[in-house]
Amino acid sequence: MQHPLLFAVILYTGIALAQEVDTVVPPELLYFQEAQVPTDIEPGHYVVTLEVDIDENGRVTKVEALASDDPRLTPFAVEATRSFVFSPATAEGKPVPVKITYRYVFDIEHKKIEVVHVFQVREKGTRAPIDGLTALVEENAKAFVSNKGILEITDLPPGKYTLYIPEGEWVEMRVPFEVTPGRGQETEIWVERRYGASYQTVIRAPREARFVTKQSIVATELARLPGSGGDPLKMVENLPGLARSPFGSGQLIVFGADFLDSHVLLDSMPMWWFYHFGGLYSTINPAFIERIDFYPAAFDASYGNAIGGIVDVRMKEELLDDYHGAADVNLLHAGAIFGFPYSENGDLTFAFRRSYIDGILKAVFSDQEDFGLTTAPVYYDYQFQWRHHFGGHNRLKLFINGSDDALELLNRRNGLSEPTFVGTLGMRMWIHSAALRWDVDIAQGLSNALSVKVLPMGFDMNAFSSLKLKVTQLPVHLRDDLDWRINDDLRLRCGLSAMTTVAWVDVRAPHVPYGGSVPMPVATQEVIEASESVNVTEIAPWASLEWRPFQWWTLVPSLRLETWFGDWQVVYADPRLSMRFQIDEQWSIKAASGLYQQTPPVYTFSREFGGGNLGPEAAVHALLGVEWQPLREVFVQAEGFYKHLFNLAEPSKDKTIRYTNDGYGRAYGADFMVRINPSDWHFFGWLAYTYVVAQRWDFDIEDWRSADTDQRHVLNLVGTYELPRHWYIGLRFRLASGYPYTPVISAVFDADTDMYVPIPSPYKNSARLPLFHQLDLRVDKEWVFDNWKLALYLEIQNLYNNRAAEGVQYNYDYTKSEWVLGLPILPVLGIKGEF
Amino acid sequence: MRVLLLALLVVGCSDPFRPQSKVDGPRVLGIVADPPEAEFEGTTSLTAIIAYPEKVTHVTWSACPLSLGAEMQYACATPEIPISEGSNSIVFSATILRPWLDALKPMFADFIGFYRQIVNQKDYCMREVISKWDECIRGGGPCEDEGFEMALKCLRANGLKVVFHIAVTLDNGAVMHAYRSVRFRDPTSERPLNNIPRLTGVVIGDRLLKGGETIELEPRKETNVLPLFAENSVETYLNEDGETENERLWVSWFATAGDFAYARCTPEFPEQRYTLPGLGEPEQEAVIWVFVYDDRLGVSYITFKARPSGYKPAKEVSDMEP
Repeated sequence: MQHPLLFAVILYTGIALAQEVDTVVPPELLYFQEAQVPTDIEPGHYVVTLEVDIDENGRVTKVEALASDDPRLTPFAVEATRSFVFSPATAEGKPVPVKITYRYVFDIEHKKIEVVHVFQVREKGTRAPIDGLTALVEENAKAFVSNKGILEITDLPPGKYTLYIPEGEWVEMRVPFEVTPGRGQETEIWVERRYGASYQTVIRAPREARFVTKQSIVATELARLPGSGGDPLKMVENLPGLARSPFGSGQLIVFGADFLDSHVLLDSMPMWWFYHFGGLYSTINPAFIERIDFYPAAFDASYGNAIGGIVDVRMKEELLDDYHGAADVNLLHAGAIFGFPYSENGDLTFAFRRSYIDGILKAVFSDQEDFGLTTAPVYYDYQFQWRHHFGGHNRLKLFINGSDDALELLNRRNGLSEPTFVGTLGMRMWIHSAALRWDVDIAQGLSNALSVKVLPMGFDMNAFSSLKLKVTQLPVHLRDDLDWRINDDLRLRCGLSAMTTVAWVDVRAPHVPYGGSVPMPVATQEVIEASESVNVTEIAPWASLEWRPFQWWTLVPSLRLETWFGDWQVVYADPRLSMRFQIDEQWSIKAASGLYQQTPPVYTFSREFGGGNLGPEAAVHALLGVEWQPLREVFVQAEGFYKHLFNLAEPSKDKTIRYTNDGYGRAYGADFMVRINPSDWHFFGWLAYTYVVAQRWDFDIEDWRSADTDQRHVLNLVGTYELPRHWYIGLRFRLASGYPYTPVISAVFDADTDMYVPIPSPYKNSARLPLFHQLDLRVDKEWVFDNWKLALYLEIQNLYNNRAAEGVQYNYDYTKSEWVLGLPILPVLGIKGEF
Repeated sequence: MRVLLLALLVVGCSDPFRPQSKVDGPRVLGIVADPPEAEFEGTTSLTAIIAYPEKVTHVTWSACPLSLGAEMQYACATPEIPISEGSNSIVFSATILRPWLDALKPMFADFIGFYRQIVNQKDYCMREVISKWDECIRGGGPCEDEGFEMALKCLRANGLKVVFHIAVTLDNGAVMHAYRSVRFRDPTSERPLNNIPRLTGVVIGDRLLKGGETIELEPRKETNVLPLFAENSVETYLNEDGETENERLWVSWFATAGDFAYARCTPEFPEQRYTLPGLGEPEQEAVIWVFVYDDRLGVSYITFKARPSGYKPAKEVSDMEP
């Protein structure tokens, strides 16, 4: 039994919001709750420093630990402090809410306690030891709290008792036990969560001033949403600022930017490509992903070489505490993952996935006379992860992954309009990647993260021996992030991004389609050949200073210097500034602007396809927004933005240079989002509406025209509700303007090739595909056993079978047209076992 | 599933339109140029094959020696040269091109400006001319005379591609436009002029047709069809990089009635199937055209008729003979 001597000192009285400091009368502690003390704490003097929010009635509304002499005491101090009652603080005589810093002091004296029974408490399904579970001995109503999965019952005389776990976070449970004289007995009990773990462990980083328009969502939340197929990355396009990608291709179209202008990163390092063929699934097993951070615009200088947005996929950092694994089977693929800790300081994880759609499609097409699948679409991916913590301050992680996708069709007859498209169409893309990351806590408030990544990759396409594209590339990336919290109001982040790559390209193809162009028959176009290698090196130091001159104002000036060597030699600097005004606990205003530059499209590096002479493309971002968080569970934001694009790669009429940097454009609009965060409401979802106007200057008509990415209205309503007994039901409704396209007004006959050549309207992108709308439904059921869990899901995409127009197709002489329709109603069934 | 959909689109199974092989109205089916490549100041003849010629009221021919090509909808850098009216066949002598080119000499800067828009990657000669022109202009010039002579040499060696334009006016006032290129150049022993690819005939069922015949077929029954390529149809030639390449050939099928299984086929996969409509259905007698193309402007065709067994002719449909 402990006898803590407790006393409190109010060190500092926070500012009553919107009040002057010198008029505030601090609250007084009226009721003190004694904290429990774990039995394994040595006698001594301990302090847990807490930040306590007290409302105008003197009730504690929020407690957060700031520091602790022993982290084992922290949850007990927090729990006890929640029961404190204060006299209200007053400002000019009126009660006001305040935030105080409170030191909870434990003076623990040595006293022998008698443990009469020990329960090992584990969570059903995951086998995880449970911390902080409160249970009562029914006979005397004495409460005990588990610590690291151990619940010790103390000081009970011999007899029969019942341990009672009340309904709450856990399913109600009664466990009879007996206390006998002598040594205490041990019992293992398995406790079931009433609701999924994702609703209990919510990770929310504080809103950062340097990322004024960041969305951060935990991967497990995303994976259960309809349309995800269990893959969190596929849900990113439902966030505000993003357009619906054409044909579900997974292309990121952020605030009207071209998809090449945005990047997907894995722990801030490039992934190069992140989807298997056609955007079916991402190439990383979702079990590795902790959360997804999305920055649609106006991010600070820690990210560069992108004039669009950034998606940063964050991997899990916490070491495994036990062996874990999962097997996943759905319509397209089967996969498995297994990980285990080899010591308290390290773990290993392996994962592998392979599609079997090749088997299905080969069976479907086996009786087709005119074409066949010599290699049906097949993909696999693998991941290996090794993590080790050295001495508590150094963390090392090696992550090796790769994927391989292949497809080959044999077209024996010409069902296509192109006269020579007979034979085989083959495509293969592969990537292998090894990334080593070293995190070190150098000193209090000073940390560093160094990553090196090498990722050989290749893409090989051969179309009917007429066209080919073969690219082999060997990039090596390095990134260093130093984070120095100088004091409470000043924080410096700086670092270096570096990359060197050599690419070998062998291509035979028409020129890359221009914006707003109508697809031309290949037979009537010049076929360009190139067999080249490109070697570039990037060194980009950056610095970002977060300065809080006042409690309510944070500003972040940042600068990135990009230096490129090799076949592309340029130097440029991107200054940026963002700021956040915290009006009160609920409201904040944010504003940001900056210069963003990037390499021109990759094909322009080719001397034959792009002239190889372009400078960087550029954009100025400006963003103004407001955030409102009326409740912990509810987050609302509204933003307006303007992007001026310049120095864009613009096709030249001069075929000896192909491209110039003369292109310019603009994108402007607004977005609005209401998000319900995971909580004990058991609902998670959001409503997001984005309005974007994306335009490019048309030099032919000397006026603005719609960009190819000009999807004006995008509305996404996404949500999933957790019912008791581990049932989940989710809906997704999407409404989006059609993409613009250039109509064909007539055609002429090209007697050289027996093809009709379309005559496009001089007004590019002057027509638009019909409105897209789709409703998806997903139902999950999870069965929880002691050592493992089994989950079954049914996802019905396009519930009311609205086949959306995804493009336009024409008859041979362009006198008739039809929409290219998207997928009909599509049920997908999946099953996943997890331990 | 998206891959499946993509695969279906690639092989054209989702094409909801009437196939190109189905001829249900007046149409330019092809233009045969003989020879498809002629000597620099040589002669070629062009014949337009037009279905339902009785609905054609007027035909005009013109030529453009400096065309921006298909990608720019055949816009011509200079006004097109009128050639002939009224006939679907012409003979063109390139001797008129030399004075036309000479007239361009004073406007050589404009000529270079135009050529920048059409010069192909593999036209090394003309790219060199443009490069030297730029260099000369930077040096202060004058550059016209030397540049013109160099450009002329390039045109003679690599060919001046003249695009012929036929405008066909129909009885309903509509105008159809078709374009056909002929290259005029100086042949060498390494790079002789291209010849027309030819078919020796078409086997329908068990009968060989060489053109001009009429064949009776069982209605609504699919019949195997096989094109027979003449010997040496696939020519070997030196490309711009001096590498040996084989021509790629394809066959296009057209019929005024009935259905071909495929609009086109190739020597690698030549088999074709054809089905005549049933008795009593409209358009029972079919005029059939079979064109063979190579990828160097060569084209020829044969035509014949097919009718159902027991057919009684109601009306005559034929192509417009030269």
